[in-house]
Order: sequence, then C-alpha cells, then structure tokens
Amino acid sequence: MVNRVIYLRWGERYNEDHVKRLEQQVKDNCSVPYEFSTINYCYAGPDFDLMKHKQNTHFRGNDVEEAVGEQKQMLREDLGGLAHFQKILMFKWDRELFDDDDKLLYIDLDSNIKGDLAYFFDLDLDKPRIAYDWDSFNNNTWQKLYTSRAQPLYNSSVILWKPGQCNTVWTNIRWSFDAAFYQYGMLDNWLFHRFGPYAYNDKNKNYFLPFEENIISDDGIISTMSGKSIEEKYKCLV
Amino acid sequence: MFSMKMYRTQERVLKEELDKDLSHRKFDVYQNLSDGYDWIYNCNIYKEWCYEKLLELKLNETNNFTNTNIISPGYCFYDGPYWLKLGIKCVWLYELDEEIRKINYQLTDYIKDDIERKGKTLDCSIDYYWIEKKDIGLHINFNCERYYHMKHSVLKEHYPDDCIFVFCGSNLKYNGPDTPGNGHINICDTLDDFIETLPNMNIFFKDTMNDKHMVIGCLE
Repeated sequence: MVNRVIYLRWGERYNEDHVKRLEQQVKDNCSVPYEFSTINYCYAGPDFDLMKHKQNTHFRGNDVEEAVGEQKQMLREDLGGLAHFQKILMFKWDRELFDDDDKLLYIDLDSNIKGDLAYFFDLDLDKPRIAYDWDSFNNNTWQKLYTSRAQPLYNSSVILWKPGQCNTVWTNIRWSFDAAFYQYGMLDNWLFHRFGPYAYNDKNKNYFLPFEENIISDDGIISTMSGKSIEEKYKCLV
Repeated sequence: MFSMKMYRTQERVLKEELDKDLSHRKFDVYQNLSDGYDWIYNCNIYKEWCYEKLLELKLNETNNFTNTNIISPGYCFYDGPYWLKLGIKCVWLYELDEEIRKINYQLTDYIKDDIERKGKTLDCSIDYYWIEKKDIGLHINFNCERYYHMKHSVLKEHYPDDCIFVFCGSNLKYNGPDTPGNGHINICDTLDDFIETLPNMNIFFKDTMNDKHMVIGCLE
C-alpha cells in the first residue's frame, strides 16, 4: 500500500515551478511515507483528445480555465465546456497505474498546504472524499443556484480515493459527453449534479463524502484557491 | 369550491409546510404566488400562453393528454386548472432541483383528487432515457434554454406517434444576479434559431412573445 499525492499540470497557466512549489509543500507537511506523482494519460491519449475536442466544440467563451466572472456578457458557468475535465481521466487510469490498496490524494497545484497530510491517509475510504463548500451548505445558499448549475458544494481541488473507486464517474460522462460539455461549464458543477444529493441514479447520490468542516479551508490542512479569479491565484502563488 | 381549495392550499404551504424544512425557499414561492414572477424560471405568463394556445388549437379535443410530461415547470400553483381543462389525468413533473419538485407537490395538493401527480429529479438532456414515454400524449419543455439541444434527447422512436410536443426557449441573457437569464446556456436569438435546436417537427404553431419562443407540433 502506497500513499500517493497526485498533481496534474496542463496548459500554459502553471509551469514546473508550480509543481516544485507543491512538491516542497508536501515534503514539508507529510509525516507518513508517500510518493509524489502525476498521471500522464490526463494530458494525452485518445480519451484526452476526445474530451479536448468536446471542450473545443462546446465552449462558448474566451478563457475556458477561468472559473469565475463573466465572458461575452455571460456568466462563466453558462458558457459550456467542462473546465478541468482532465481530472476525470484520473478515474479512468488509476487502476492500471496503481495498486488497488493505494490511497490517492489529488491536490490542485495552486493549493497551500498548512497541516499534516497524514490526516488524509488515515481516513476510512468506504467512499471517495472531496472538498466541500461548507459555507454554502450551512447558509442554504446553494439550493437557489442549483437549477442554474452554479455554486456546487463539491470542490475537486482536493480528492481522496482508492484506485477503481471512482470508475463510475468516468463511465457516467463517457455516455453523455456532448450534453455534459455543453451544459455544465466546469467539472465541479457536473460532479455535483451527477454525484451530489439530487443525482437521479440512487447509486450515485452523495457518491463522495465531504472532508470534515475546516479541514479544507484557510485555517485548515489545505487551503484551495477554488472560486478565485486567475489574477487572485497568481498573486497568492508568487 | 375549487378556488377555496386553492386558497387553502397556498395558505397551508406558505404558513406551515415550507417552514418545516424549506424555509429558504419561502421568498421565491411567495413572490411567484403573489405576482407570477420568480427569477429562476420567470415562466408563469409563458405557461399561460402555452396552455391557452393548446386550448385554442383544440388539441385537447383531437389528442389524448391523459398522461403528460412537463419539464422545468417552475412553481405550479396556477397550472392545475389548466391541466384539468386539457384533460390531464396524470402529470409527470421533471426538475433538476428536487426541492422545487417537493414544493410543487405541496402547491398542487388542491388537485390531488382529480390529477395524479408524479415526478422525477433529473437532467432531461442526460437522463432522457428515464423520462416517461409510454402513452404520453403531451410533452412540454418550458425551459429549453437551460439544456443542450432537444434534438439530441427527444427522439421520435421513443414516443407515441400522436404525442404533441411543446418546446419553449428564449433569447434572454444573463442580466445580473437573481434575474431571469441566470443559467440560460442555450440562448436562441431568433425563432428560427430555436427551431434549429429542436427535433424535426410538423409545426402547428410557432411564435415569439417578449423574449420567449414557443413551438407546438408533433415529431416528424
């Protein structure tokens, strides 16, 4: 059994320095043995090419990676594409690349690690786990925007799972590429609708367990830049 | 008698039922009941337009609307009398949002003795396999602008030959938080653009009112 910290880097936005920055943070903040690695199939190969093609076909804005704000006088989430779709490919390839009893912890490159990552590798993994917008949950603000496919409670900046455990996420999207890439705008919106509390298929309802409140937060073990503009992210990464 | 039932229902929903576990929806529901407006769907006047047009075309006399699908119906308090006029006996309501579906069950309680109300929480573009097809006489989608092109998920071979279809879409764009247009992803500037997104149809009626397009017909 190996504890693995997974990172992904695609496009031009982040460079090798950002990978080294995350790697150093992991090294400084993990008290249990681990391996730091990526999954190359998330950036290349026929599945990636197909998803990239769908992205190019259905995205109707200027900057697919930007997660907030407006483009062409429309909200980013209404402009289609599926920003960060590369993460789904982790769930297709994990079983081929890793052992079944490994624990996989994905962390966004623009995260800040402030506490011991051993916490994650000690968690039960009966279900995969994902970062969660606890503020929106506690304030009941997410329901109002659910129909407009905005304000998802799931935040894919941090995900913990075992190889093969999320294969159903991959199979779910592969049969509905066009509608998913046309409608949802961002991976987190799609994930929350297909695997959150209102998922049609009962087996997929609440598929991911949230990390406990405050674990992924400004004062927690990991703070993410989810929901921030690219400019804000760059400022924090300097 | 019927209007008294409606009054009692809305009073019970607003004063009791929403307070149980849906109090965060109370303002939206109240606003919808009081002036027909809500930012999520903004479709009461368009629903009225649709129902009136179906009656005007007398499609309820030539076709059997006993079993009807309605996708994205919004809050349905005022729909019941029209459903009765159209001869609907069993209505399936489909929503992305499970809470709106629950609220609709409460809001249409006054009609429960006359019409069976059923529903599913799903995305009609992706989960279209699970939308009822057997014996469906009328299939309405009030908010096509929230979904991928209907021509990819509404297929002739799935529905009875004589099923009537109503598709509503719009050119209403985002205009700030809490305004209609929020969540509109499939915006069609013209009625012809909208028809392009639909399955091939024999069209009985097509028009645009304000920002909303409506097409009524059967599948070719």
